[in-house]
Amino acid sequence: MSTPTIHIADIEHTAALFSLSEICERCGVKTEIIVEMVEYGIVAPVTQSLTAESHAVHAQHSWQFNLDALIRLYRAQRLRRDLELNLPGLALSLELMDQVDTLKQQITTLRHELSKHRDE
Amino acid sequence: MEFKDYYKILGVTETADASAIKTSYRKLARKYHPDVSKEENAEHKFKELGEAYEVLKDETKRSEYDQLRKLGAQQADGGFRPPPGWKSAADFSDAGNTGPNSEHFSDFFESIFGNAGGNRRQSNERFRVRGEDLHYKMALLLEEAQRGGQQQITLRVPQSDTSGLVSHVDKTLNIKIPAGVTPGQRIRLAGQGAPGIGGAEAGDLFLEIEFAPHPHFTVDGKNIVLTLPISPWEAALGATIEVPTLSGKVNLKIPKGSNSGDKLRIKGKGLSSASPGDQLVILRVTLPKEHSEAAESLYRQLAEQESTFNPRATLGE
Repeated sequence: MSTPTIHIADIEHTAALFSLSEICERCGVKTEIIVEMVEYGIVAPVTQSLTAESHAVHAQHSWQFNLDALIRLYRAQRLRRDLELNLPGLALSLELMDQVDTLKQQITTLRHELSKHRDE
Repeated sequence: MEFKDYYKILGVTETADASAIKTSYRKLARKYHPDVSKEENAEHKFKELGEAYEVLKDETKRSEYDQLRKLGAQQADGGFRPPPGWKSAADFSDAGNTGPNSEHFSDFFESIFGNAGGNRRQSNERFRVRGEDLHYKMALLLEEAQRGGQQQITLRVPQSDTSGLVSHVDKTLNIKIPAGVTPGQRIRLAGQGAPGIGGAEAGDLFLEIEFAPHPHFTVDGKNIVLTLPISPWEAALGATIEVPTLSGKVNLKIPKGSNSGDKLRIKGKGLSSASPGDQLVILRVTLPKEHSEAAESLYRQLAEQESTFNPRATLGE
């Protein structure tokens, strides 16, 4: 087997942006679903110039999503498909899951702190 | 191969009706969904559930499965092999296996129901599909995240042959992590996902950075937090103490009259990025378990000297 090549995880790739049609292709969903997910606040396209125009329906084609949004959409799509969630349920689930994640992180940090204040 | 007990997996009895099976599946699917569950084997359990439900929700498949179960198609070695000449009705139909993740069904499943429909993608040569994006959670030590460095990872990548049959191959990648990544950060490796079908573009690989727990440091955003034990006399008199940071030791000046819980900030010694974080040092006054007689007598002297100090003044005494 040949020596594997080294791939450089370029941090600039974090700034990658995806168009609405790219997002749809990757997640395997119809445009309308993504538009609805945006309307429910499940994800948001990156804000460009905040003109009234960018909120209009015809501006959807200029929407751009960042990597975090893409990964959230993947997650949303898996949950929707596997657990047969409707969009309001999905939005609520994701919000609650975010809260759980934050709380868990805080607990880990606090536990760590606490362990240092106990008798060693 | 092992005989899978789909009833046990779904937590239902052999006589359970369709609605009991559905309810149990839905409940367990919520519990073990890999996006929800934090259990280690959630992904495996979820796939097993999907497979069990695929069989038991379908009357034909369920009765075929029950038949094999009753036949006791177990070999002497405890393994399972379908009886000679076994052919499932599902194997004849294209839409036989319909589950969302049917390409992940086990060998056991395929030995009974075949892999028609589920495992086969469109074999039309002009059919072009972009390769699947892959996800990988990468755990780094704090030091590695700070300095950057190289890590080897192995991924299971789906690949389809000319007939469209999907198999998985292991792919090893050496990845150079840039310095200063933060927990939860996502990094894209363009084109390193699954290969495309029919000459289409390959998918991407998304890395999610996680930090392994560190014995001394915790992370708070871009800041590094360290609890620093100090002696009562260092707290009372002030001192200059050598403190570990992610980039080596630095001298930290403890001000005179410091208290347990006081926070000191070492600028720029947090996680590095365009605007680096700080290292926060939380002081913790620590006493030896036992004092010498001489030390005890000094404390007694101190107690007399400082008799006006009431540390519990805030308790309203």
